Parts: sequence; C-alpha cells; structure tokens
Amino acid sequence: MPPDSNVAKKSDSPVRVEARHRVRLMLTCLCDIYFGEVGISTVKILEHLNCEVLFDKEQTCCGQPPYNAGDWSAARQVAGLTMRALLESEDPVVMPSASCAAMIREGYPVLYEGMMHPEVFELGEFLVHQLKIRSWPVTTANPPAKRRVAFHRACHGRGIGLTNEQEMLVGSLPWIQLVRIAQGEQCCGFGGAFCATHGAISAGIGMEKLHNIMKAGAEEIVSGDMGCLLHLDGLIKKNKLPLRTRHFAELLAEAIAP
Amino acid sequence: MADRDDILNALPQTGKKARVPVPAPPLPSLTSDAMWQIFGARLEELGGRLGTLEDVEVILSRPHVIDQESATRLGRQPGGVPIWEAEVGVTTADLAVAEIGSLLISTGPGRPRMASLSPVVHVVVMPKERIVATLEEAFARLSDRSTVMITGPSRTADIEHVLVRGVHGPGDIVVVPV
Amino acid sequence: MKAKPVNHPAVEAFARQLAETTRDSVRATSVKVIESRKARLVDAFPDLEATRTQASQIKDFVLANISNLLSQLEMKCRLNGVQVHWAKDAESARKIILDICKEAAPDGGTIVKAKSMATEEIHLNKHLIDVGYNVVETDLGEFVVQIDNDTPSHIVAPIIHKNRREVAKSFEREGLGPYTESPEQLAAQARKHLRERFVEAKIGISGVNFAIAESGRLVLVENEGNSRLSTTAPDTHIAIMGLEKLLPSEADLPLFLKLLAGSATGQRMTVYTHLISGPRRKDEDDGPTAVHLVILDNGRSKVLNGPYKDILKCIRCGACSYVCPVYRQVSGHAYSHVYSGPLGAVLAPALEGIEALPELAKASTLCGACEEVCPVKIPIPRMLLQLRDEAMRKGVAENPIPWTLFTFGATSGLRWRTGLKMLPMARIAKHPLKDGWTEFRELPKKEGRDFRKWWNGRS
Repeated sequence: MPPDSNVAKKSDSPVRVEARHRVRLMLTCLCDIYFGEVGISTVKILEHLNCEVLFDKEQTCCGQPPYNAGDWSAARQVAGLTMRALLESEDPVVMPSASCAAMIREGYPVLYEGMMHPEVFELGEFLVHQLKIRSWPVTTANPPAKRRVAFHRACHGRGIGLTNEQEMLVGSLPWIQLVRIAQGEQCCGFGGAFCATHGAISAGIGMEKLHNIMKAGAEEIVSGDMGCLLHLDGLIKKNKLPLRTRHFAELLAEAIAP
Repeated sequence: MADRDDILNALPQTGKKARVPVPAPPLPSLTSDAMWQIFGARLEELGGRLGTLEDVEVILSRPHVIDQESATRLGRQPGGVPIWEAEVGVTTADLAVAEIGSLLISTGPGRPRMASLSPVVHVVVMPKERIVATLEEAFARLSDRSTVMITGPSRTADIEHVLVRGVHGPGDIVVVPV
Repeated sequence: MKAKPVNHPAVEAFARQLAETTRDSVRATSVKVIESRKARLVDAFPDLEATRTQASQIKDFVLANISNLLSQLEMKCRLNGVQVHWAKDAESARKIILDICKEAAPDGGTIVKAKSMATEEIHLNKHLIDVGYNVVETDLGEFVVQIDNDTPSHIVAPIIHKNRREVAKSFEREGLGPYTESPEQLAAQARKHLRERFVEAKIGISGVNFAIAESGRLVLVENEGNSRLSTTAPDTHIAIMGLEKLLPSEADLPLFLKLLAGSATGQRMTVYTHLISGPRRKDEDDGPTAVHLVILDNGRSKVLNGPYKDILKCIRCGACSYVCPVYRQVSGHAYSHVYSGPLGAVLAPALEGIEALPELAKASTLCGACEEVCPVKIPIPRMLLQLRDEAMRKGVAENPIPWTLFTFGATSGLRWRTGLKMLPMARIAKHPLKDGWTEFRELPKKEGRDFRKWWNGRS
C-alpha cells in the first residue's frame, strides 16, 4: 500500500478505459533535452490505455524557469509559444511533470490576468481523475524482481491539488514495495535557479532527503518531476550514494508487454 | 495626533467586503457531570488536577492568599500574606470550559488578578454549575471586566522544546468543583 | 591560479558559515513542532480546510475595513479608559513610549517587557536603555536573547538556534545560579531572577495578539505568565500593536485563539489568554492604573495599498518557518530582519521596500509548504514570485541567468530543435549557474533514447 492513500482509493481489479481519448503530449523541456525515455514511457502509458497521442513538434518549454527567477517578460514570451503550440485545441494536454502543469494552471493566470487552462493535466492526475485508473493494468510476462522504492512527492503538485495519485499507481505494481520516509512531505531542495544561487542550502535540503531515503532502506527514488530527480541524481553521483532515480512513468511503462 | 490622521488617510478606504458570519458550532447537550469529566481529563493532560475540599485544607497550611468569594465558601478570612510571599492562591472562577480544560476568571471587587498568577500553586474553588462545553459558549458570556482564561499550569518549551511547568505563573493547578 | 571570489546571496552566505549544532537545533525543534501541531489541528478542527478559509475571510474583512475598524477600536478603548496613541513610524512610536515612561517613572528604573515583535521592529529596548531605563525581557527565550546580546531567530521560539548547554553557560556567566543543563532548573533560575524585576518595575511593555474593534478589548496570549505579570504588576502598562492586529468582534476570538495555539505550538489553547478591558477600576484590588495602546503603522498602510497586502493577514504563529526547508537549514538570523522565515521573506521587503532587500525573496524553493500550513491561507509563494518580478523590473536584483539566449531558443520551434542538436557541442562550461551546480552535484548527462528521434522513427 502507498504510505498515504486516503484520497484516491485503489481497487483490486484493473480498470479498462473504454472511450478513446485524444490527448496532446507536452514533453517538457527537461525530457526534451535529457530524459527522452520519460517522454517515450508517457506515450506508451497513454496508448496502453487506448488514448490517441498527438505530439506537436513546435513545442519548447512552459516558461517556468524565467518565471520563477523573476524575469516575467521572458516568461511571457515563452508562454506565448506554448499557448500557440499546445493550448489552442480542445484536446486535453498531458505532461509528465506537475511543475509544468502548475506553471500553466497557476502561473499563466498571474502572467495574463485570469487566463485559465483547465484542460492541462499532470500525467498521474490524468490517469487517476480523467481515465479513472486506480490500479495499474500489468501486462508484461516478465515482471522485474521485487524492490524497495521511496516515492518523493514533488512540491508543485500542491499547487494543482495532487495528493497520492502517482504513488497509488506505482504502489499497485506487484514488484514495488513503497517505503515510508521521515519528513517525506519535505521539498527536495531543487527550486530551479535556487539550486545554484543558493547551492549550499539546496544541497543541504537534498542530502537530508537522501539520508532519510537510505535510512528507510530504499534503493530507488521515484518521483513525477524531472527537476527534483535531476537535482537528487546530481547529488547521488557526486556523493557516490547507493541510490538511483526514476520517473514514475518509466515504472508504469515497465509493466506493459512489449 | 498628526500621526492619527496621516495613518487613517493613508489606509485603503474600500470597506465594501461583506462580513462573513462565524457559524456557531453545534452545542453538545451534556450533563454537568459529563462536562466535569471531560474538563478533568483535559486538565490532567495539561498537568493540573481536580481536587477536593480536604485537599484544599492541606494546601492551605502554606502561606496563601484567598479571594473573597472562595473565603466565604471555605469559611475563612479573605486576603492573607502579602501577595509576593504567597505560595498558594485560592480563587473562584466565572466558568470552566470542558472542551479545552480552561478556566475564565474575571477581576472585580475582592478578586485580585495576582492571586491566580504569582503563587506556585493555584487552587480554584468554584460552584459545580459554572461549566460550559465549548469555548464559544464561554465567550458568549464574557464579563466586561478584564478577564484571564487559564488553561493548565504555566509552562515553557523555549529550551530545546523540552516542556517545563511553572515558569512565572503557578506550576500546579487544583480545581475543586463544589 | 586564484579562483574568482563568488558573491553568494546573503541567506546562502549565512548558511555557509552556520555551525552544524545550530542547524541541528533549528531542524530538530521545527520537525517536532510541525508533527505535534498537525495532530492537534486535525483533532481540534474536524474540517480544518473550512476553518482556515473562514479565518482567512475574517482577515480579508479586517483588511478591507481597516480604517473603520481602527476608528471603532480607538473609540471603544477610550471608553474603557485606555489611552490611545498613533505612531506612523518607528521614531514616532519610540518617542510616544519614551514620553509615557518619563511621566510614569521620571527617575528611570526597571521596565519589564513581555515578548513583542512590534517592539523588536522599532528597536525599542536599545532606545530606552540608552536613556537610562533598565529594560528586562521576561519571556524565558527573550531573556536569553537579551543577556547574550543576540536577536530572536524565530517569531515564536526566539532561541530555537541554541541548545541547553549554551543557555547553561550564559546563565552561569550572568551569575544566575550554579551551572546546570536541566531546562527545569534553568527556568527556575530565570524565575527567581525575574521575580525581583517584576516586584520593582513601575512600567510593563507588551505587544498585542488581537485587538477587538467591537469592545476595545486587548487580547494577549502566552504560556509562561511573564506577559500577565508584566501587564498586571507595574502601575503602567504600555501595549504596542501593528495596526493590522484587529478582529471585528469577540465572537471571532474562539476560532482565532484555537487556530493560533494549534498552529504555533500544537496546544489546544495557550495557557494564559489575557483579555484586557482597561486599567484597574476603582473597586478592583490590583492591576495597572494606566493602560496605553500604541497603534503602529511603520509601513503597513503602504503595504495595504500594494500587491503584498495579504501578508498583513498573518497572526504570527510561526508555522511557515517551522515547515520551511530553507528556514530549517539556515535559522531565522539568515533573513537579517526581525521578521524571518517565509513570512519575513515577504513582509520584510514589503515594509522596507524592494530596494532594501532585493534578493530575500529568492531564498526559497517555492515548495508551497508555507501556504499549506498557514492558518489564514496567505499565498506566500505567489508573493515571493511577485517580489522577484518587482526586483527584476526595477533592476535592483541580480539576474542569475541572462534569459535572452534561452528566450531566443524557446520562442521558436525551429530554433529550439536546432538548439537541441547543437547542445552537446555547446560550451555548457560557460553556463552562469554551472559552478553553483557542480560544487555539490555531478552535471546531468543525456540518458537513453531521444524522444524526438523515437517519435519521428515510429510514424
């Protein structure tokens, strides 16, 4: 069981999605630059659930990096392209990042007074609340070995009302044992440009998180935001810690038969 | 007074927003005994206790002050030693609040504020019927005089978040409903 | 080759020289408080979310009607026999208070003080000490701060940054009693020493937690009893309040008292809730014969007219600091202002102007934990972002990254795709954030397949 499953309850039988959805993928800049596998996994997951996935090649970035750094004029220029490339159709837009979804849903109304984009979803949120998936439909014939995994809830999920959606799906995989970590709700310390301008503080927060994860006996950190994982992975490698990072989309994709 | 007008003029003068009424929580219908039971449990959690008139007699062997109402109730003389020398203060209370283990004590003739404050032991002798279930009920009946609400013994957690009782106010509270 | 010195923002620079023991003290207490408060609030409020919304709306009402409510408060206070003074800034407030002190105790003497952030804000103690008064902080934590010539590092827990050994050494140095590391015995030593100050003081100074417009009642909450003693034993009581500390009516008190106690310390209720209706009446036995209320503006009216007005809904519970991952790493002193933590990161630049504290709002990961715990739902992260924007627009903050190149690439699909192809060849070594990243982390490498190649390959 996920550590905290009071919000969305897991049911025992996998739910099949009957209606065919058409969704637009927002890859996100980090997956575009570094983590293609997360984007590939996201497409596999959505197609596995009978969704038609469209990918607009003109997309770039949601504009959050300059927005958080305080350069709102740069943020508006970048956001303008995202709106043209992705947000003009009526199809739901799905992305493997709560941070980017929060930027569009919470940040755009600040940049452009009152502009709302309700059809923008973080992947886990879309799976649980739109497609009503409560338990991951495993189809692979070669399940991986059991392993202990620590789930890190990315803070930007707070802004869009995410709770345990991603954990619930990951926790439903028979080979995953989720472990409870001390101060699990605390931020990883990434914070965008903060991680470099306030490096010692950022690393201090991140190392605290990693120590708590190791104390809980996990070997793998799973999260839904590549920003957190990029930072934690950098710390892990620099300090040669026995941990690895994965995006939850990769874990779900692992359970799909090739 | 120049500051007064400067400040009031500088403040936003909107004032349109509607007042949100605070809905009154449902009133539990509890007997006085049931409320005293809850009160006693709360007080104990806080480090105080319910006591009897016999307990009071023992405690009063120490240097003390007694307010007028309690003196009448106990058949003793009001007053006592000079306040800073008193180790025990005996007072009445206007109301006990069951849900949080609090006591409301207003000041007034024969009711010195210091009696519940400077001694190390505070004894409250009060009529049994003066209890309400909730803070909301209690505050609906506030005296217009200066009043203190006391919720357990004086305490601090300033040093390493370690709880210490009896810093400046009484470290012991004994409540005697009669 | 000599490395170029790096200019870290103030909060980061502070963190780098902070002792590990201090960090441990701050972190340990913060975690403890956050855990106990969570349990208490869930227990006390069946629908915590609705309760926070309610409290937030009452504070919205207060801010929207503040001018009328303050006039009402003034009138009611006068009827109660409380003398009301208005101070537009710190200097004015200090002068008002000094004049009252000179009248009440012309020959100097002891002034006992209860914990008050407003007095910290106007640096009152130094001013009164300079003219010869013996000003004594009587809250245990504030007393330690005073004898150590230190400043509070949390608005509710002033010595969260000290451990018991440090307190023990200070008490021994001040001759308060034999060396002891027992918090109980340290508290007893303070009680004994401060009791004499309460007996001799002619004046007591305090803050105000809530002032009730409807009745003119001043509400002070505390746990130790020092605040009650400071406002009861001396003949003159001076209370100072930031002008936003209003509640419309006494019916609002139960909600706010429970919420403040639960949020600040995880208590069902603070030990002493002092409802002051004015000076001692003729038929009363004790209490001060004169009560003064100083209503302090000091930048607040300006804040109320601007984009950060919501920060004045704050009831000073300190929960946002306890829960903040950055605060836990750096302590309150890093914020270099009396108001620290997430509250301070907004309130300090809002009061002082962005030019005075242009970088403070950047000392945050924007994780949102502060807003999540705030009993009156102040949108702190949103205001931190607005402050960053304001600093950038006014050109007073350093821009860590020249966004022009990024913006050039990210505003055209074609340029973006071209950029992606060139990225492996780009001189990432020149990125302005590289050093801040690599000091603590390995650089990221592209792993696995490229998404666009894969996508193009399948269709």
